[in-house]
Amino acid sequence: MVFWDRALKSMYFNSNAIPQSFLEVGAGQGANLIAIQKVFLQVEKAVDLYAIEVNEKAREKLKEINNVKVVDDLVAGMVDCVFTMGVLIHIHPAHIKSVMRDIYKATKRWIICAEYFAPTTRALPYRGEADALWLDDYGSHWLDNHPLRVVSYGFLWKRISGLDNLNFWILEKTQ
Amino acid sequence: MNKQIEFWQGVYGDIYQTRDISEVEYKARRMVWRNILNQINPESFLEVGPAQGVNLKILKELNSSAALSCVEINALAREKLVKSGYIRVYDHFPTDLKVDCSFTWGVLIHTHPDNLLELMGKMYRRTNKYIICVEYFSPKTVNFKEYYGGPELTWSADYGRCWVEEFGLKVVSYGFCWDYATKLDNVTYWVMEKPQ
Repeated sequence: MVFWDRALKSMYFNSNAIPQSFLEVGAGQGANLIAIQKVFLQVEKAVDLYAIEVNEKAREKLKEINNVKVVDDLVAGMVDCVFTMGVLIHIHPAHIKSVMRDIYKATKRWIICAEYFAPTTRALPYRGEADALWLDDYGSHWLDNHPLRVVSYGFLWKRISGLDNLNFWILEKTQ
Repeated sequence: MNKQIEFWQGVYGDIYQTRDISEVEYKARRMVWRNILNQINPESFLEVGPAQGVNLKILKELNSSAALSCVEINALAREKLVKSGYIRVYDHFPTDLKVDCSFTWGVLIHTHPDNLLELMGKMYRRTNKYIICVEYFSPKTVNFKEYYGGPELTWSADYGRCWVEEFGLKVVSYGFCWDYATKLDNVTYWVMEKPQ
């Protein structure tokens, strides 16, 4: 929740607006969407929340969360902000460009990505599998392939943030 | 003497002293220091491994009265640092020096994990208040096989965690310098304080 509170503040200060609708790609059990909802509740504002999730059990859990709509696909211009947290890292480098392209199309304005960082693509074994996790400079990939600008970026050190040493980027469309 | 010290004392270390520091890098480093000095006010610094002394030069600019010292193992670098006229230059840790802040910028990464605690301990004993480290981060220690000079010379690790867990430091702030935005080679920094 601290992350989302700060993320929204940085958008407010740097983009002069905040998203009214969010879609999380790979929402898991919805911890981020719940946190976003709490931040909006604090300021008594409404927010539309959408989730895409491939795991059936997680989908069922997501459906139980108030105000979260579980959808199957990304549709062009469907929300103000699409985000991933620890999801791009699980997409094979051969497919990452097309996933990013779909995310880019689906958002009206902002993209947030929080992932494991490495300056160049580095595969790491994940739960015993060799081809399941890649560290990368996802922020640079976003900027190199799409017209976006950086609203803010940073590092979420596990020891202080409680999040898993993620690097995040908040990006805004320039076209 | 170990492989890492031999490397930085030798010809590769000498070549490194002629590295061109761009205006962009200088300004970016200056920005990092300005940000840090907005949070803490040390009046004396000890840099371990300053090479050409860029950080010390910036500190001199930002606080002309600060007392600046360094430990540098490369003789060529030491010669140039002495010429600057405002830096006390040592070839090993002086036992009688105490400063407000000891720091490294890209030096712990070149220290073999087996020797890390010894070096950190020396830095810890020389400072009264603060420790800053600016290094490559990874959650687990990773050795770069194909880095400047080859394997067993550069690592990335969770140096912040090491400072906190092994020396009980308190974190004042930390952050990441994304190369895309800063040209500072994706370093992570930690500003830490000794418990009083």
